[in-house]
Amino acid sequence: MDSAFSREIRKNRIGKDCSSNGRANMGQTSSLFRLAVWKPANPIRRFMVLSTKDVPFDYQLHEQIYAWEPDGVDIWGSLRESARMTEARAALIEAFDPNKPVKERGLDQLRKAIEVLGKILQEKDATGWSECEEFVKMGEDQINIRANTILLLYRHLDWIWRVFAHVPGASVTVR
Amino acid sequence: MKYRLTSKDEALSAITDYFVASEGKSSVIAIHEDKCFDSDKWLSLGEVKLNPGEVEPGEERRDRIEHAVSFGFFEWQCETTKSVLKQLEALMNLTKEEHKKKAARALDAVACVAARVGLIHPLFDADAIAQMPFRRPTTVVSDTSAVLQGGLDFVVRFLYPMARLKVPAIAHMEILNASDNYLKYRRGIKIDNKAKALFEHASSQGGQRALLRLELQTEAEIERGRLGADPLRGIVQPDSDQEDKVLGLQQIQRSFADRLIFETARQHLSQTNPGHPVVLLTADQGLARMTLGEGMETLYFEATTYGAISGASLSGTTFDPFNGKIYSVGLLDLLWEFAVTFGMARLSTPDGSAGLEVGAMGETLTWQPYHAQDDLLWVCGLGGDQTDDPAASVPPETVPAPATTARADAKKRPTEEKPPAKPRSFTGSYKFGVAKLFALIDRLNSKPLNDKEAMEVVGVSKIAALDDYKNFLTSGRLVEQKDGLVATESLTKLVQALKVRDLDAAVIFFVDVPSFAGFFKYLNGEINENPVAERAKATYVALGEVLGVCFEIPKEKVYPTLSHPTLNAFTEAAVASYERLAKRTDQYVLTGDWLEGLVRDHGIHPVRSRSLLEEARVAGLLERFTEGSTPETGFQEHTLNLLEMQQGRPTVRRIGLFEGDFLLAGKSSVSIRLKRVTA
Repeated sequence: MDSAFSREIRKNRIGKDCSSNGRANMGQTSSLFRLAVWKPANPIRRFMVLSTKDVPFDYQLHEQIYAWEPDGVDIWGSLRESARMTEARAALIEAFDPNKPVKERGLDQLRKAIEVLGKILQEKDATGWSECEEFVKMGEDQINIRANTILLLYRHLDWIWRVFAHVPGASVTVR
Repeated sequence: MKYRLTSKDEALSAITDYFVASEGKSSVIAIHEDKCFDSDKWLSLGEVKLNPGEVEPGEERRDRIEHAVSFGFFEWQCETTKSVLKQLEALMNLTKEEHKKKAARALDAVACVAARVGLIHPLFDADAIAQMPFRRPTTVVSDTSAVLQGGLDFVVRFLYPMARLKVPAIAHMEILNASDNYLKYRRGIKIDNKAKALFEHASSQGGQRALLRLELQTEAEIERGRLGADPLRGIVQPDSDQEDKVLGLQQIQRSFADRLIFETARQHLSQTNPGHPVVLLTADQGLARMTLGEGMETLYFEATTYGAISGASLSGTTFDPFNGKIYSVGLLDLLWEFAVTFGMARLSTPDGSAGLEVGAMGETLTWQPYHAQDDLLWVCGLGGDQTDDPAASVPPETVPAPATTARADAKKRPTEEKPPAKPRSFTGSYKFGVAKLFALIDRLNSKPLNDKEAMEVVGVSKIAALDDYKNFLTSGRLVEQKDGLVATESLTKLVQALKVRDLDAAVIFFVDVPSFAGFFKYLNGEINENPVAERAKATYVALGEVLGVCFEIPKEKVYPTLSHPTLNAFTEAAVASYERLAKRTDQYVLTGDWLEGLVRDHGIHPVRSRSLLEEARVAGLLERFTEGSTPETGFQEHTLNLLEMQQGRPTVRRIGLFEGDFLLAGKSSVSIRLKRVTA
């Protein structure tokens, strides 16, 4: 799905308690959020980097130690205000742009992003429970799972932070 | 209080009644331990808020609430450590510092409950998480702390079946030992250290439940290691054995138990193929260090303490940490886990005037193995008319044998105890299986059906599930509800149209159904908003596909397909759609792509395209060439609900548009090439 279409879907959701329910929905989201945790690599073998114009002179190898992306869940689906959407995206996506230096994408930065989400969750009516694309079968019925995706994201990022907070040199990217 | 042995299914009805009655009021989750707390004193663990969402047309509020309870659409706002500890000290009249410290440890069991049911995840070592999810089979040997603190449940929930689980006998015995310690307190006349008794209660009963639940309620296969050497006797229960005394085992009980768990892991390592990983799952730092020191791997996680949930808002729906899907924890699962771990749990209004109490251990509450097999607990409704509450009428002493208890009653309730249905306006939209609807229409055309027969035809066990079928057909005057369902003349004509696959004629009968008429208007562009309720949209889209009025392209949208082009207009559209895909004039393109192009750009349904293509070929307007090959992967979701006749009966089959068996009967046509015939 092209990003313009995705943006449109998200825009339509703001302020609504609605789902993008499976086949019936006039559109759906795929994952637009992929978070990875990295740490400096400690390769067993030696590596040689052949210098070309494309390779910066100073570089470090980092290895991915955890990756996560929501599957069929629009993580912003529970945000009810576009201003909060901008704030959350800035704290989570722009702040962890892979092109940024590692020291600006550390776990301490992730903590700040979690706090931004925490603040949004504290605000009255800034978020709410909404229906997700995922469903469970109950006999004949398909029940769409309901969630406050911002709360879920907050809890999950908090868990990630607690697990990786003290790994030396660890950093985060979000695409 | 009148408790009744109850399954979760039966309690679901009672707790739904409670939420329906107390809508708008806050609910509190609380626990009680009958020997450690004063009678009628409960420890509040925080507020629980259900989020069933807004009722959509055609839905009942009660159903929404029931789903919210079942599938974890709730938030639990946990009390802070300070607040809950203050309550606990007051409840148990604790004055000694030593006892207060032990009470704080007992409180950790609350967080362990949250971890075991999956509301929070254990904090694993970063390197351990980096190895997850396992890419190859890995043997996980659990120690006792992992059983108690949610590590084993995490492995079962997220890493099984790649993780092969082993629970050493010593873990069972340590938990049994704690259970024995607790029962000693319980049998005594007076408990001198209530904090310790509470700790032993939560550890032993919570641990035993974790093991029983994994054994009886999950599909996980858990292997138990052999008990091991004789000296075990000296570890789990000091005795006067001379050899044990000489070895001094009583003095090193705990560390020796750890050692035996480690030895079990090493025994597994020696029995597995070289290279097969064996890891030891533990929250015990000492055991983890010993494991590493002796050259084995460990899955270490931090001890789960109340701090992990202090003041937190926990959600009953939670992200899977590896695959990004959402999984849910039912509210009753949480209540059940608390009840077993602490003896009693309840969900009620803050003043306890209404709600549901669940008990596992108490003066009058018995236990038998079948309780564990069926996960039955003692339940009592609070407030209201308790005789209406399935969980409040029979005292434990008179509970009949299992075959006639709650399980049997639960099966009766949907028809016998449900309040009479309100008159329906039939303005809502309905959710059902489209193939089953056509099966029901076909059967009704042969003879009237009573509810039981109709339920058999559509394959549902609940009368409520039949209602959507009945109401849909009734609203379109296709059936009349007399003593059963009786076909009208419209239904007979509809079946005739279906038998000759006259979809345009069939649509006319379905448009008599108000909800489908609304959907049709939306497709037609007469109205901008789809009036069909969210829960039923898939049904109406599938029905629209069968009737040829719409088609959904995955990851795009539902397109109306109301175009009926002339043969010449179709030829132009078919060639245009082909040329948009083909880079050369002789190139084969995917048939599915071509058909979807006709849907997207020209509003022509694939079924109509199929017949028009053949007509255009016969009329000499087009030449078509097809090729069969291995269907392209990645298009499995691109399907079409297709009306077919089987033995003279209308049926619905779902076919893959890219699989090459749609366009031409008996010939594979994964790819297609078109050529305009010029005079």
